[in-house]
Amino acid sequence: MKKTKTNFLTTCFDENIYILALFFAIMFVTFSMLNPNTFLRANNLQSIAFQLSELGLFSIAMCLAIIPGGINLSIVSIANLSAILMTFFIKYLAATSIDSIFLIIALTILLGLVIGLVCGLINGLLIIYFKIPEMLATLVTMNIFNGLGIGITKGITLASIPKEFLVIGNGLILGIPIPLIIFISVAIIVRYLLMHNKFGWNIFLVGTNKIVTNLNGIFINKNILITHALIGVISSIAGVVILARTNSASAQYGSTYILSSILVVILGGVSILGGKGFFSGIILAVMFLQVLSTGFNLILQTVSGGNFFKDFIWGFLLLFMIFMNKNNTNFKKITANIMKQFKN
Amino acid sequence: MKKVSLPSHLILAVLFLVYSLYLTIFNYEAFCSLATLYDMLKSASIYGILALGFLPIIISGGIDMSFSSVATFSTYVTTTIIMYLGLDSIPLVFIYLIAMIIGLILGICNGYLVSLLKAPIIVVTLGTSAMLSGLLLFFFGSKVIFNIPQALTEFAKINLWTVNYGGKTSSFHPAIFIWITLSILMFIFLKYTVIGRNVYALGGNPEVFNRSGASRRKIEITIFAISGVLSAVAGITFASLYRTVNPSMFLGEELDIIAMVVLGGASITGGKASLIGTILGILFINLLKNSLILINIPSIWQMFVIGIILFIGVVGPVLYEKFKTR
Repeated sequence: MKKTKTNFLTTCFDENIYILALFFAIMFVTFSMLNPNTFLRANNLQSIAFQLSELGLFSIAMCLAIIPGGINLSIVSIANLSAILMTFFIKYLAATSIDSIFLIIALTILLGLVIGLVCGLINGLLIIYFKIPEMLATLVTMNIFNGLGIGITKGITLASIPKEFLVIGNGLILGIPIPLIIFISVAIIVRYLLMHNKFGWNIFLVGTNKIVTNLNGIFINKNILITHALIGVISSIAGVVILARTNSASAQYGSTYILSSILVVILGGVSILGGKGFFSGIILAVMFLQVLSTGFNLILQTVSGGNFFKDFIWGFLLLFMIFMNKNNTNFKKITANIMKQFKN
Repeated sequence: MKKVSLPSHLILAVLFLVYSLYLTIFNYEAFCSLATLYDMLKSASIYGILALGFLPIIISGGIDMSFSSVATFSTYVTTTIIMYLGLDSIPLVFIYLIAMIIGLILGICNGYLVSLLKAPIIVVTLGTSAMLSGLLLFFFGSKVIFNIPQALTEFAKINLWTVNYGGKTSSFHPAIFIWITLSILMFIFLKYTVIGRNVYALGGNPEVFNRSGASRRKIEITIFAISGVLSAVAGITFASLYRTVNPSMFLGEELDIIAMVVLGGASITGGKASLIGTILGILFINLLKNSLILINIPSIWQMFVIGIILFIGVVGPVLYEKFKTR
């Protein structure tokens, strides 16, 4: 297999972004024309923004795992576990004599982030100390975190969180949903870390070629550990958003987010082999997928099973984008390739 | 070809034996009987057949995420077609054949896509898996089918022989026989055919494999076709044993089965896996799932215990190597 890997700066402005932006624009206009009364309402756009932020946070976490050439299957389990423990903690704090609700909320969120950090560090240590492939290590921890969540909650969904906490998931600031603000700020911070920071350069290099990176005196293990700790923290932020938005915590919530976040990362133009990618693509891809699924739901809401059509479209898009990424130079090459495939 | 490392097998076998012994001592009445063995084998056979299909793919160095969708799709479509055409009394063999043909077609498509796109297998199969389940739920419906062909209902009741033990009767179901036969066939395929040996070569070192001049596409299409057929067999067997066809019957089982196969000593990066280890892994996880209640662990902790066992199975060999080299 021939792997041609170029410097990531040259791929920063790749055509993938333009293709994605074009698709996004076409979809948006099409759905607006097909549902003139519902799609462009502020209400609908707000609900899109609410739904988008969880997937967005998971996609950022997955992107951080994929850039150094790995994968992380335990992000959703970390989010659920921290949401569950936060529920217990906030109820415990509310029963004590602490008066200030803001202090309680701040402590709870802090605890959630610490849990995420610990889970991320466990992942990282399994990967760097025991040299277990990332996929396997995170599969194991996914089972453990998930099992812990089911065991603690006895398999039921926890609910009735203090009302003040729910503002984080349902509130609006100047008409913009707070989850969206959280997502955008996390995205900006991660973008800064990835594109304008030594850490980001290092993990791109790790993804490009581990041996050469090591020979250049960069500590691979340290960078991978930091990456996984960061993934844990971002997942637990997603856990905060889930807890506040749905007013419930369950060990089984959102298992499909693993698939969709991998899809978002690939749609956003990050190579699954690692080392290549452009972070802005992720945000565009999240918006694209959410608009797509909302739009199809609006069109097909009268058809039974209509909301499953988006699964088909998502899978198709994933394969299509891999195909386009593989031959993204120009259309001529694509047709030539197709002709060659037929000849073989 | 690399030899399968001993520790992983050894750990699994020892764990299995110790756990069985513990169960025997702890709860002799409920556990130690031939009936338990037969029931365990019967419930393990579905996952066993699925894992058999998954095995060549993990040996070749990829992770297949689509086999559960293929199984569900072929079973659901087969049942829908048969019931729609009113062929209620169709013989069992034809039901299996139709499902296997659908599975074969889906498998070949999967394999062709994998070799065309040259992307990691896990990503391509995630895509095809989403496409298949979307297609199934959108075009064929999302209802649970209780009205399944007669032959399947009868197949569930067939026993090859029954055993009477202390007032309990238990029977040897043909599904176990299907699993054993397919295991032997898979063993022969992996050990004595050219393609089977090539699968190991591809997983061991893809670069060397490419330079040796063997056709990668042929291997990939073959292993995915096999996986498709075996998934379809597992799906129909599931439908027969549980007497329903459910569009979400294998939802989320992929990762469980990957865990079982990895516990059996398969390397997730390819080139290293054994059939015996896989079967041991399946039997052990299945025993664990069904017997935690016997040693007074509530079933809600089932997943956590499986996670811990998986952790031991994965970390154990690494620690063993570390201490051996010291």
